[in-house]
Amino acid sequence: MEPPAKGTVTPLASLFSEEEARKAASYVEEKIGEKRVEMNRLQQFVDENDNLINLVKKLPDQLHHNVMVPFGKMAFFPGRLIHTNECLVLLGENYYTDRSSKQTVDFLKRRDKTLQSQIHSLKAEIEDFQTEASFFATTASEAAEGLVEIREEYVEEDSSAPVIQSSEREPSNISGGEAEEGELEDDDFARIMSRLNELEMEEEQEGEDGGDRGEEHYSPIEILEESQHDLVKGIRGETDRGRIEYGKQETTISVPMKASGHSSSIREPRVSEPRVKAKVIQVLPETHPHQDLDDPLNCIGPMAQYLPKGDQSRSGTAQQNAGTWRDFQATAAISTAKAKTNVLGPQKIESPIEKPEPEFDSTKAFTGSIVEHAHIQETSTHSHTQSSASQPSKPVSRFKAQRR
Amino acid sequence: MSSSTAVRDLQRDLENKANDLGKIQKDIGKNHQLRKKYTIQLGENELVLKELDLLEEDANVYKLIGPVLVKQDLAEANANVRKRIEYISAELKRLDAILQDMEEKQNNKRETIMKLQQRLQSIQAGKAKA
Repeated sequence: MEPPAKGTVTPLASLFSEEEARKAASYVEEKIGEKRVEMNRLQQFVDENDNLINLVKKLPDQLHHNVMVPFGKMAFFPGRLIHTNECLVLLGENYYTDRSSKQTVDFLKRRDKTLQSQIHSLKAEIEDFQTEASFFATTASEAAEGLVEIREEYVEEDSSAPVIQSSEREPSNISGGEAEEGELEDDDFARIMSRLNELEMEEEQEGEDGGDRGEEHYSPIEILEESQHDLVKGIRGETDRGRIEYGKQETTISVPMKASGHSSSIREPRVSEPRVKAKVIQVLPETHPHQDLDDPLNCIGPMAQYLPKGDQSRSGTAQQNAGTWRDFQATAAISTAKAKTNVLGPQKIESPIEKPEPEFDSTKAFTGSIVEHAHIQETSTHSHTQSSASQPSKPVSRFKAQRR
Repeated sequence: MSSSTAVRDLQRDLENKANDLGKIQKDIGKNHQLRKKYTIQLGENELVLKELDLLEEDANVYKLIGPVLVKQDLAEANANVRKRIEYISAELKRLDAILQDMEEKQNNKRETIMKLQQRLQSIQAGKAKA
């Protein structure tokens, strides 16, 4: 299905050796260990702080407390704590201040907060490292199994002529994978169409309040009918693409595939997708502020509606996922994915071998990816254009076009 | 004979360069540690400043100097901490600049070493053929 004289095939093992990847993985594991130690230390601080808070809270309950005062290392003598509401608090940097118990508790709580935030960031770091480690591990095993990378230049017949560069990994026994894909094609196509129609209906229903979306520029239908090969590719990467592609034109879509490359392998990628999506869900709200201000409700409304759907269909076919996500993103006017994409895209494309930011699909960058450059310079007055125009070859553009 | 002396020269050169590189790398490591220390201090100072800002005007503030607590004016303490933060940030910036410089040097050294190694190898290969 791969047109000849288009694209290159590189064995994965030639890009980096198995031992190197293994070494990298073990190195990262080491780092994780260090971070864990650090986190334990912080956790200890937190515990101590909690104890102190409890103590300071209790102290002013009584006018004085009878205590055993330590005297040297071995001895104690009975004594009594007076001034139970006065604490000398070390602020740090050798600065002390007199505080009441209540003020002290407030102070300690603030300190607790900073500690918690530190732990939080540390946890995130550990998670990053873990994805990195697993990425290296899978890379190593894939290199060992002899995966190949297929990279292909793709030129769109659009006036803006975006260049889509696709790369995908396939099992080395291409013949098997090919046959499978042929079977899947029609199936996928039909499913995507029905899904799109469904979404269109929904869109129309809720579109009443956000009519202005209709004026967006969408890419023509015919793109949909482009070579089946492209479509299939599109379908495969769609879920991820839905996330990435909108704002920016450099994207990476990962579709992990097992090296064994038998019939089941093509479906397998879906298994690992939910994780990615979960991340997306987190990411999106934070990106909302960048969105169009003219109809914030639109942005949020569709999201609320579509997210659950995305969840459901997660277990279903990826195409449905894709449709949902694309639709969601399109309606939500994602001029937003930009930031993320900027970070992700180029990195994935240019230096997949190097240490990846262990975000999102970094683990899958090698398991198979579709890299897309779509340089689009559409100058539309509507800011939504950005999102829609940058997805020229996607089926969703079809129903958008119809709505226009 | 002349080729062997050339080889010896090259080897000596290479050794020197390798030593230099090692030194630079050590410096970079030191720089990193220093930076870490300063960053921690900066964080602590910022915490202190935040707390000082939260204190009421008439609060007693002490500074521990050696074994004694010296009473300080709140405004004074505030100013001191601010100054310290300024100083540390400046220091961090300086360290950054130095680090960049050293990294550049390191890369240069690495390149020259690579070149030397290549030359050495080519000479040795030539000798082996001859």
